[in-house]
Amino acid sequence: MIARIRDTIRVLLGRSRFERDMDEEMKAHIAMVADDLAARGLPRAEAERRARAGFGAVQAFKEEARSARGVHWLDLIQADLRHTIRALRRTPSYTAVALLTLALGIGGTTVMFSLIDGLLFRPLPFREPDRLVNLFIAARESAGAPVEPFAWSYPKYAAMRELATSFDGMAGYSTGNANLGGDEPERLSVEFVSGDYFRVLGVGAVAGRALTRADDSIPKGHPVAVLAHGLWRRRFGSDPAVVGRSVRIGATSFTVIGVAPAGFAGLSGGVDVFLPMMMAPVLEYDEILTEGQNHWFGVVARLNQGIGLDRARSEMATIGRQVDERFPRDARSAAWSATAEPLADIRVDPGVSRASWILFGATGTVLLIGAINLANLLLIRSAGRRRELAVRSAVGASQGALVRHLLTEGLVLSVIGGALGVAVAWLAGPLIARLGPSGGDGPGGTNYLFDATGTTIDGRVLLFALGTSLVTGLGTGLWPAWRAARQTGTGFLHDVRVTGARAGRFGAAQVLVMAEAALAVALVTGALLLVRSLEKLTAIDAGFQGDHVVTFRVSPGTTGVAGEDPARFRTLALEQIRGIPGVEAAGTSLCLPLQGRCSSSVVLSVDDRRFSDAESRGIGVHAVAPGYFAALRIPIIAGRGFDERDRVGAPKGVIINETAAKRLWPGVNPVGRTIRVATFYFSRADTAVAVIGVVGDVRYGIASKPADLDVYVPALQAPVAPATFVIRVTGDPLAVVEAARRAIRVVDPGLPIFSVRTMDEVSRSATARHRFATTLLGLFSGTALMLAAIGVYGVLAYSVTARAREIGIRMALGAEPSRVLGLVLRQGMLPIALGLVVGLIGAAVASRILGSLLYGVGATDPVSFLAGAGALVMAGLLASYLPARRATRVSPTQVLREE
Amino acid sequence: MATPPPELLQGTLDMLILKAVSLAPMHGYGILLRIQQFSHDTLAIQQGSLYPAVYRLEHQGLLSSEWGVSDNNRRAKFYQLTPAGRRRLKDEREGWIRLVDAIGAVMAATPADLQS
Repeated sequence: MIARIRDTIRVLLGRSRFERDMDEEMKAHIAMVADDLAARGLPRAEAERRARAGFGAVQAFKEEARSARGVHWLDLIQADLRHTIRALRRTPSYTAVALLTLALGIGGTTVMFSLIDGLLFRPLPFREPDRLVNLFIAARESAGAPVEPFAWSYPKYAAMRELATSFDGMAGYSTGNANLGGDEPERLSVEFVSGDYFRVLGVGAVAGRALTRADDSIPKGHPVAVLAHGLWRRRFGSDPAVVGRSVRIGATSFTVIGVAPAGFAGLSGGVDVFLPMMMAPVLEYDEILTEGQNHWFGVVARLNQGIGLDRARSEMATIGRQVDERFPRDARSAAWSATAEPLADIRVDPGVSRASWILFGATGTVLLIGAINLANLLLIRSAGRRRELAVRSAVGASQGALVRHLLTEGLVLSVIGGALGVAVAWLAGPLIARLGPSGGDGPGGTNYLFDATGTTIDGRVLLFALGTSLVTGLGTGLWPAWRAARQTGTGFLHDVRVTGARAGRFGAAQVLVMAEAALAVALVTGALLLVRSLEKLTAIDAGFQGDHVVTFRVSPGTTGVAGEDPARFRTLALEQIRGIPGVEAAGTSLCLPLQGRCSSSVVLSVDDRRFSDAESRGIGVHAVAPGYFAALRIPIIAGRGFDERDRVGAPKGVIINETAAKRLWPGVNPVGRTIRVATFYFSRADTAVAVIGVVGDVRYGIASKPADLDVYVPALQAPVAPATFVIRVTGDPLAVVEAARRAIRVVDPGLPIFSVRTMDEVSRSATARHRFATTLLGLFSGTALMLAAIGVYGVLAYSVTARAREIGIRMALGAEPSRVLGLVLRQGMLPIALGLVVGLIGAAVASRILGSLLYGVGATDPVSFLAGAGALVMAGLLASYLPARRATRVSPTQVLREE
Repeated sequence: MATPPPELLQGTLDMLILKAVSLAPMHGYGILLRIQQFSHDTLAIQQGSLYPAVYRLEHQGLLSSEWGVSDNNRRAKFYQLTPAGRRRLKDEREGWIRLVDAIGAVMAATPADLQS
């Protein structure tokens, strides 16, 4: 057997030589016979003639010989391919439509696959990623309402690490920011990591070495840094000699000990430099490693070989309790425990992955419609070629050959279409990625590792595209092939034209059109639901006016004017900025609206009522400098906003939002009342402060969620250095950025500004996920509608051609053109109408999966359903009208003459 | 026309080719001539039909081939038996002899044989 395969392969590899040899061998044979005959006295020409005749049919023997060498099937395929390509080239418009359809369908599916693959399926780029888990502090199961997982404080982490036995190693990690000194100060994203971090993840260094446990044992004692690959390239020109050099980060000089590999930007994402966690007190503040209740970092751990997730979880539950009991906490706050989650499970924002799945489904639907179109076209073509097929079958082509032929056509089209689709995916990938919402904070001090901002066309994606093409090709080819094979036996050789009349019935083609219409209307309706949601989302009054507003952040260290005296820095910087021509108002805050809540632990008490933990979690605390409300045009409803009076040393006052006013003092003017605020901004002590004003509600969280309680404290009295500047200008907001940068440098020369964005950009980013889903689904559903229209058009156009005789006779008998028009339109619209009903029912069921992507519209919003139906009817009418009009132009005389 | 040449039994052509080639390496036409000669012109094989059979035998690894020059100075492909071909020929011959004996015995049966 093996010898035979080897022989076949040898023949195939030397195919032309095999043919030459065979030809020469047979020619030599005939010549030798002729020689013998001539030797017996026959004239040479006669001898040769007889020799040839005696040999028999050379081609047939050659064919048999090839077959004997096992190369027969290859010839068949070759012949089929040649035949198919010839047939396709004869009908360029058909071929173009089919290829375009497939390219769009396969391209769309491929690009969405690459997105989803990157988000969900690709293994994490770490050693044995299955063994990596994130450890969280979590509420005990008995403790009432479920609470989100929590990050760790250093003392709790240290205690937990002592007790845990399930892990081969664990490491804390947290982002921070610091300024890189030098000629051009730059804002760095820092990741503070435990010494074991690189070992736990299994990430090495491309130059120098990674951090080890020895680099992270004494607080403030290890001024060493590992550069991320990006920073190394950007700032140091990928120079390996940077190892050993010192760089100034914040106010401290760090020695570079290594460079992390490309593609690894920390578990926090976007990291520029890795610093030992023990150095956090240097860049943040002294107590950060000793505060028991300041939960600020996430923990990644590697499970011991053979330890399952359940074991680890139950151990963490026990240890979590023990740790919790060691750290005194408020009697009213919940009792805590701890748990473990696979790192892979928190790799992506569930909302983003849901949107991506929905879009993947949508592209799959587009592909399905495209495939149906193709099947229909093949069906029509095979019907149009019945005579040819019948002839082929009559002269002995087997049914297998016919089936093979149609299958080949489906496969050839879909493989070429798939190649075009990969090109489409390659072109569209970056565009789609630009729309994609970026990562963001995950639960409990973690970050989503992947976001929808990258697609790559790699081996996996190509394999997917190839598989999709082949399945599409087989699927679209098989059905018409099966029908054609079934019909060859019915003896339609005698009169092909009779079959034309059958096209008027509700046949297979009509069923396919119906399916297309149903799928298309369901997609269009879904897209309309999203469009209307987005419309409502963008129309939400979030409580501020963002036009003509630019924002940027500064984050001073502990040195410089900004670090040493944050209040003075703010005052001076705002003075400078207000002096810039065109600036109307300027203030600072820490967090901007629509960016997720700016939470910090706060406890409020009003009169004797103290808020519980759960209630306090809903309260936002914002340290804002004068000018903030004016810059964002947040209305002051009662009392006053902050101004120069709220400076250091003056009595402290807070401003509350409308919701807080209503909730805390229903029916009473809160201005002048006293509230006790225990917050980080007021040095944590319970401070009794007066309410000096009430402002309008602002949505700080997601746009669709109404404001909760917000308390504004005066930034000039709160000793926090980082700030977000908010500046309202009369003209183009970005035009003042350079002047603002200079203004900040005047006050603190070493301080960079970063995250420069207009407020409109901030608002847009808040709806990025919706915009992403809406834009793409809109695009896909438009494509689906177009393909469905092409499908209707194709079937009708063929039917009109096939029924030309019947139509001609009708008209000769006196049928009005309008009747003919109606006849064809009815024929086209019947499957559309049926598909419409099926599709709308399907949409009503399926629209529920849009879930949280819908806002302000129900899953069965009548407007969307009506508009979707309208769009399909319009597309159907347009697609039917063109062939219908052609039908009215059939010339009766010409048709009758042809009879 | 005289009596037509007897139909070759299925598979016997392969055996005849192997036998013809076993005596000396031989080209296609030579194989035909040899079979004709040994059979005293009784077996006439359609000339072209030899080749699919030869190719099949080569594909099965029973024959090997190389180019050479024929008696009348023409370039021709010469076939010879491989060891596997030699084994096959032996098996075929034994099988054939048994078959011929058996058929011969049947055909030679007389009424007397019915008694035993």
